[in-house]
Amino acid sequence: MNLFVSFFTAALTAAVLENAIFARGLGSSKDVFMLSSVRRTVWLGGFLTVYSLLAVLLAWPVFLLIRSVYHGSRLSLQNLYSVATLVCLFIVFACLFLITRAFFPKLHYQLLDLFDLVLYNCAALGAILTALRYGYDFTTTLGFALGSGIGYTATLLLVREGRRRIALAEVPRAFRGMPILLLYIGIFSLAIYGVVGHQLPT
Amino acid sequence: MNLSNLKNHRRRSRWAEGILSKNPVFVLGLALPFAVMITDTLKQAAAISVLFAISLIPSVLLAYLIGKRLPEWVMLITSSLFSMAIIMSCVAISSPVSTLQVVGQAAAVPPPEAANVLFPLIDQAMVDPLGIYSSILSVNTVLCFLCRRHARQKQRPILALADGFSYSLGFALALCLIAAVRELLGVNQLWGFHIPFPIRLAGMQMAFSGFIVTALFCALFRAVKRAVGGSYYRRNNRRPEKEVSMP
Repeated sequence: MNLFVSFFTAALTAAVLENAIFARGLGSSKDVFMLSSVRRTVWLGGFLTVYSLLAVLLAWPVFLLIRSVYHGSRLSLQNLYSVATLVCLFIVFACLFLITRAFFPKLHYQLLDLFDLVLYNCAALGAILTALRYGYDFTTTLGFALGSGIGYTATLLLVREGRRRIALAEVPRAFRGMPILLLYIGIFSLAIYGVVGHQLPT
Repeated sequence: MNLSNLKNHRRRSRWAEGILSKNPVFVLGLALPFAVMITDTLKQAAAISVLFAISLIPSVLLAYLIGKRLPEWVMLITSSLFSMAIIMSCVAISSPVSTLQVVGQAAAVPPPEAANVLFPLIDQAMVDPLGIYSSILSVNTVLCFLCRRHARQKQRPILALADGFSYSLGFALALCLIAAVRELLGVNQLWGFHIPFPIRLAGMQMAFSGFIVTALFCALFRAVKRAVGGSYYRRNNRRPEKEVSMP
């Protein structure tokens, strides 16, 4: 029962209070904010969520191994976790890429340009490293990764909806496009800060 | 329509396009997490800019060398891992005292006896507050953009080097501008030195102000870019003066 509670609490925290974009700016880039359709946004978010979860499953035994053999060095434990997480993320990406290309070619070619957005998306890496910094156990880290992915998807849908409404307004020429979108995200981030009440640690 | 001046300007500015005309943060909208989160003090912005430059330039050169021999996704993964290796090396060899720290405090801090003549540019006190963002540098979107550009197209290696330098400078310029404004308005300091300023807004040190200040600078850059482009165009395309007929 405790496991379920900690899993869902971590997921909810990651989705709302420690939202990847609003609270930490992770995964923010012009390409991601300018995605054209709801369907592609949901595909990107879903892909990123699955990607993060699989990476946690692969990386957790590696973290345990690092913790057991670490005896102090110039690199801290967190730095070693970062390297291990990145390697595991790329292994998962390579497997997903090759498996979809071999067995699900139609899906693979539909998602081909999303692969590029996922590979260099720091939301997955950032979520796992944040969970490790907080010292979460396996179940809580899984919940945090899941919540982070869901929160990221919801944020992109919110941003897309905001873009649609801003397009109907008369915006000064210098602010059209990315500047007004960043202002919109900043105001949402202010709302999240109002709920949390303090700056989150990096 | 005569666009010769504009074309000449664009050809000349190709070597330094990453600094202003295609600034990675303000114009291309890349590497936004760092612009938003790591700009609450000028020291952090300088530290992340140094790490960025040190990791970006060799990674772009590596992408240039291996890009045509490997599939794109393999090239991107290799460049990212190489970038992470460089960042971890910098973090591992960062010393307690750095050039930036000594310069910032002028003659007040005597160099330690065992230190070399050339200190590393960054120190542990500057790297530690970066948190997870120092590791995230290895998957930043500027690296992806430049690696793709120099792996796909037939560019000269000197252009890859020039792009690495110019985009690093552009990134540093963007982050330092945002950080200077946030630190000055947030805590009335610049690089840790107190600056008497009438306005003090505690909210400038929070994440949301990073988004807002970045947005304002983006708009400013866009307006200036339009004005400069417009002036080059108007030089060759002056409107003929209307003849005023006397009654």
